[in-house]
Amino acid sequence: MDRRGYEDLLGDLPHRRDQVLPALHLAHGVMGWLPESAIEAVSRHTFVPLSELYGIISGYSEFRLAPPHTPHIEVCTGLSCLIAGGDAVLATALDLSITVEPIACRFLCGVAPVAMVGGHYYGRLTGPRFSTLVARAEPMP
Amino acid sequence: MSGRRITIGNGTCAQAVGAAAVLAAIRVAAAPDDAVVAVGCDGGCWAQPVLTITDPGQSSQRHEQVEPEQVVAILSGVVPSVQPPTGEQRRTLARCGVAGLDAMDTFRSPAAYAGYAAARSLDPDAVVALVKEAGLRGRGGAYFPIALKWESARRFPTPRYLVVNAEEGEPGAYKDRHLMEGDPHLLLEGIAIAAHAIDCEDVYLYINGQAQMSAAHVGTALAQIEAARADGASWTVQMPRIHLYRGAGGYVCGEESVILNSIEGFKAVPRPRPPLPTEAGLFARPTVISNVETLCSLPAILQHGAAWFREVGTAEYPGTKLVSVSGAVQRPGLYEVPMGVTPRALLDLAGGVPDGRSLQAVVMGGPSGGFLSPDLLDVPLAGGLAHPTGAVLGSGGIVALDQSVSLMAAVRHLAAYNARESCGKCTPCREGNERALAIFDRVEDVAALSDADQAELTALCDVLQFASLCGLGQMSPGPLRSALALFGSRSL
Repeated sequence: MDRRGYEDLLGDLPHRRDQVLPALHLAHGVMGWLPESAIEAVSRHTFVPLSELYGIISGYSEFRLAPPHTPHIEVCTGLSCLIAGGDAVLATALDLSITVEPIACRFLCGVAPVAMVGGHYYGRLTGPRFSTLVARAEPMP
Repeated sequence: MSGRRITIGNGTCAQAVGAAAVLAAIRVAAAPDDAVVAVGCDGGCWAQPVLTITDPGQSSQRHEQVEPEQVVAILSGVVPSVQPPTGEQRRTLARCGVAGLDAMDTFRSPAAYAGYAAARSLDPDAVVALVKEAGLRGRGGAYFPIALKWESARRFPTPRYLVVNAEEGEPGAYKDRHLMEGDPHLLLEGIAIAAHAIDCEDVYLYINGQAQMSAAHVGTALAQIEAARADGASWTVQMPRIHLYRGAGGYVCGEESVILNSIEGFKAVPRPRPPLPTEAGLFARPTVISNVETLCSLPAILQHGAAWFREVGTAEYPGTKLVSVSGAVQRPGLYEVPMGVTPRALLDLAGGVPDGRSLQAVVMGGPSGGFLSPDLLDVPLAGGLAHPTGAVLGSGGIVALDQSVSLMAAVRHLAAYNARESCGKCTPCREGNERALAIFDRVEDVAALSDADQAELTALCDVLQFASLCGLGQMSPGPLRSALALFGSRSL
């Protein structure tokens, strides 16, 4: 989407600085990351200079400035998950030579260990189960 | 004769362990006059998906960790049910796991917004006085009396704002999510009461960017309020406007002044104090910032009174607290207990350490708290330090560590988290946490730290604690100090 497309998307939001975060969420939702055209549109819409806006964006760990790896797989590496067998899930990811995003905590500690595959969270995981989920998300080459 | 009420736990935790498939199986197998109701998690994450069957006029039958293949047998009554867990003092969680989510049962029940109605029948001064008498303290971790915050904000002119801290970013704590997913109207009712107490028309609700179901359910509840307002329901007229904001990651975003910057559209970094937010907070107006659990405690206080609230807990810390217990326990989940119970009692409530494993330590308060060795678990839950070296109740996260994780790995994990999550605004926190982590990276276990390393760590901890701008840095020495003090001389 070009800058004009993102500007249309932001259309209804008031042109104010306190709309920066909602505008960024709206733009981020289009592709799951923020291309330059999106950031320029948010800057124009809220009158926050581009240089400052980049600083704001980089302060949030969940805003991406590049497309996420597909299929997008997150593995929780929090203490509760490690204790409940999360290390086996990580080891399986290593065995499968797949790209996973380690996550500090997804707040599902009561059903640890947890991973996200294809937009869905899975709890009480084992290595073999994780392997099956990954295979279903994208056939191995 | 009416049919059965069949509920199925369908919170985020339940969905991660197959609740959707169980729900689908129930819809197929249920009788035409059965009411099938999706509910939030009742705190028993370990037992999800939880299915309950209630025949009219009879007690509920409970089934835990239900698989889709079992549903037909369960609904035909041939599977023995299990006893619901006991030992909790459920007040704030009373409707979680009971109230239906699709139609938001609570909204239609006669008790809905009774606490708010009670508040509206009083003038704001009387509400403040009542909550002051109840002694409610902030459940986000600071345990500051909420009535004093209200009084402080009320000394300054309107417009005043209420900001709801629903960022909940402390690893190992998931209480606010349970409340928002399972009983969103309780939060909205608490918000309305607090807004009345400080005479505020605009509320900013800041929900963690990853807490999708929390935001969705709160959004549905808000829409119901709006619909009631459009229908002319008189009790909604004085409700404040609620502006929903979503965070976008970062532990520091749970720090109250960071939320203010974030909402205003500035960089997510803390502000120096003074001025306190109650004097000049959001948009430089007097602002009260409250945690979700704190606000969810208000409706019952207004409904049942201060004396009722003080029936449980301690004189200094009355009421109950939601505590997330996870790690090496048999029944990880969320527990509501009176303030003043001990971590040991909570571990017991969660079923204790599984057979064949042994407790090595407990992390209390996450990366902002610290370690407790197994001999230190009898300190009552309260505000402030649970141990001089760093452990705090905080927002209420307890993680039990067994031998499957080395203490060194756990210390590094927490230190690395603080180093990564430091926003970088102030030098002590930005540099100090990296340096501390580097020291731990040099050795294999805590006991192997040289005297020089220990001295440097101690100095770093002092700088972090006293010179950091906000709580993240100030509390970051906890895991380091407690590990050094409790396990430094022990071989791992």
